Amino acid sequence: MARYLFLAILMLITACGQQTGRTVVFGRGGDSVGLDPALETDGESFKVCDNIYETLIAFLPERTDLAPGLATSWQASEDGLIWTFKLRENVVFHDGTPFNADAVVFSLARQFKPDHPFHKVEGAYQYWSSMSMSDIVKDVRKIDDLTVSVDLKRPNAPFLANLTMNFCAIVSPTAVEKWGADFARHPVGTGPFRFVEWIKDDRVVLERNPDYWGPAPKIDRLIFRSIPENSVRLIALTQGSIDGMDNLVPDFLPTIEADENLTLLSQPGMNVGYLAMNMDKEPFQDLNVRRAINHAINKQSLIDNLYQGLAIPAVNPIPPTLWSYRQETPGYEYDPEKARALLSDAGFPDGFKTTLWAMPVPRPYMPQPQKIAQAIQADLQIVGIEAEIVTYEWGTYLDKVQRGQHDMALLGWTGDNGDPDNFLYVLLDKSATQMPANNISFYRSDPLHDVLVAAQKESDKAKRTALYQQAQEIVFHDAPWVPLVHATQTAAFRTRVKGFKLHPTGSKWFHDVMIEE
Amino acid sequence: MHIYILKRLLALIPTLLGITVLVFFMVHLVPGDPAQIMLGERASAESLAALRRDLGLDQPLHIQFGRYLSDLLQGDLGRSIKSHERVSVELMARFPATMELTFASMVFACILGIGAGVASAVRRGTWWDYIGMTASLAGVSVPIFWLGLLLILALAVSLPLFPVSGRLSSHVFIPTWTGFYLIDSLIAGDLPSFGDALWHLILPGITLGTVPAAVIARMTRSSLLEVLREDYVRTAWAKGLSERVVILRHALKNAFIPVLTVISLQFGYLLGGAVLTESIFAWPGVGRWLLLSVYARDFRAIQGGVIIVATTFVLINLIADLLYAWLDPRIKYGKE
Repeated sequence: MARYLFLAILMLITACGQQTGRTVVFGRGGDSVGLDPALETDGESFKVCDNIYETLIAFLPERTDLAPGLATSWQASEDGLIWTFKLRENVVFHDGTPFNADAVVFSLARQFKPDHPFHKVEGAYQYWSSMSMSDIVKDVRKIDDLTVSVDLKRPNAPFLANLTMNFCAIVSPTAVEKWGADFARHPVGTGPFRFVEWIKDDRVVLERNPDYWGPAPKIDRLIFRSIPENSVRLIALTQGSIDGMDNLVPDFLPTIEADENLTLLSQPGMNVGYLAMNMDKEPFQDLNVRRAINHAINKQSLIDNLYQGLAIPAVNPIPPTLWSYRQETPGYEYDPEKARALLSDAGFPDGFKTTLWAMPVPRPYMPQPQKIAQAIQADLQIVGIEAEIVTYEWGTYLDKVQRGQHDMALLGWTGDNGDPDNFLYVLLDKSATQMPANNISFYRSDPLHDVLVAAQKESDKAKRTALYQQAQEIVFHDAPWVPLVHATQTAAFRTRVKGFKLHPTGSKWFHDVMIEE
Repeated sequence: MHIYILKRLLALIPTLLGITVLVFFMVHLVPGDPAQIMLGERASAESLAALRRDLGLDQPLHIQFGRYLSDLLQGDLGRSIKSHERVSVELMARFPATMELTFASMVFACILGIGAGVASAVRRGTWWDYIGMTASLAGVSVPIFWLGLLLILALAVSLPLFPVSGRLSSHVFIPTWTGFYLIDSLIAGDLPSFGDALWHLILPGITLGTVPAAVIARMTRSSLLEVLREDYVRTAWAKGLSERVVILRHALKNAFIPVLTVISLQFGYLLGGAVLTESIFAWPGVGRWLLLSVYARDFRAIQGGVIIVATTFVLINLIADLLYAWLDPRIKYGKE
């Protein structure tokens, strides 16, 4: 009896404190690593940064077309080497520091100027270097208080898309000076929410920025909670102790769809999972062999059985959510007979022996790489190709495939900036075959290279679109990969939470989210 | 006695040195280059080289070890390669959570385990004994993961008595002094928050405490049965003392020495072995952090974490050793 009384009191106590303003709690699988947008590289950090910081250029909702952000307009010089940005007026950082050209110069210059006082920090500005920004950007200059110009080393249109990414978010110079190496734990930006508290591995708490320059956020608090166990996170959602979650396991979908208190969101993700054939090795130099393998693999069956429907078959290297996606690409349909005929033409009527490398760990674009490999192995067996599955620990795997030690290898890519260049040039240009290579087919096409470089130099979007469509046609013809799937990104919310939209880049913006009473 | 403690503390040094050597070489010799894992699909030759240089991985192993050891002697565990935060800060953010959970589950385990063990021993061969020992067999064999989920389904979903996960409800804030929420909320004089923290502690406490409870119950039973056959217990009975006095004051105190050993070992096991419980209940503790550090090959975090957990383990064993003397005055430490 006493025990029940105790419990009753406890529940009463806890019930009393509930509801402090309009709070949205978002559940996720892991904690953020840090909250300095230029230093972090992981999605969980960016989810929080998306709401604290802003970039010069933003995206239109649900699309990767560019829109004004902290810059209201921008213009390229005639030769495409100087970009001038007009900055938004009357914007202040959460700590009261005014947003101006100095802040922009500070945020970008710290990442690439070796003599900048905040260039040498704990860790490295990894995204700046992995997006090759130092090869593109020569200098960042203040013209006047609300005008900044960026000088480029060569004309580069995808550079604008890079400015939408977290690493180019504008940080408060005062706060960086104050906190130094600890800025990642004390983030200050201009975004719709400001930082309140971070309990490691438990929660990050943000609150509404009352001085936000745009329309005021419609919720008072935004809390990100880490709940590592997928099923427990779903229970927390159905019970209402969290209001939303992402990265749903396919098994959850029926539960969510059946629950009228929950709303499911889904969208083809900005990613691709592919099978690369190493064109430096026998017999993959032969176009017929590569096309035969494309015809031999049953993508729909992979999607039905190993993605539980949460993917769409890929025919191009870029996903359909990206502008310039080529609708006309027919794809190589599943046809084992045709595959066998092509193999005969190539001089392999009885097939051949090879290896198929597969990642040891789940990736966003391929949750079950080992099983995918087994399914592909079985598909290839049907047309006479005997593929032995090879796997290594993840770091070793990447190192070996990037050095071209494989025959065929599974890998994938999650896009960064919503620009087609970020898929096509990064993964398939001949310049990317330099080891450690991102072009792990070691596909060296001069026509493709010319088109991709022309598209980088062109700043007119319609012309770029035409060039990228041409690029996709070339890749389809040469078939260096079997483009397998574009995995779907998902999220679920309590139905009372309105206004959340998935974005192809995976960004999670809560600015327009509201709670229906 | 003091000399003994001093000796034991001095003996810590070679133990910890051994652990340091072992952990250092283990994390550096396993396959998987931390730089490669951090950069993932985006690795380029320059970024890999730069990161390896930053992390000191381009140096020969013995030089890396020398540097690490000299930093360690100055109390510097280095910075996590993943979060760039000082490992000591990362640890302090999580250690109290793990300790609080460990204490809670040990309290649960001791009360249940000793109680069941004594009942089984005293009522040997009765239904009490059979039920107690069957339950404890089930207890040692139950998969923690399954038990945790089952408890959540039963006591947080079907019968919503307890929260599903976490250390605190989303709306509760406790100013941090010690990191122990029960203590911090009391310091702040905030009873509702104290209740909330305690309320969150119950299910994970039971989950984590079940295996130790079962082990303690079995050890208490067998140890007590052995002592009950001793001459001095027979003498106590012969003197006409009540059952309560004979069992609790005479027999149990002596029977408690092996039980104490088990408790202190279980304590250490819980410190490092709470990974599953921490994952299921989203408990922000050291175990899960260490596991994620291993995945990321965050060698500085692994080294620091293992050294701290190992030190705590050794210290708890030392405390247990000292308690032996209090329990059994025949035990003497060193030559006094």
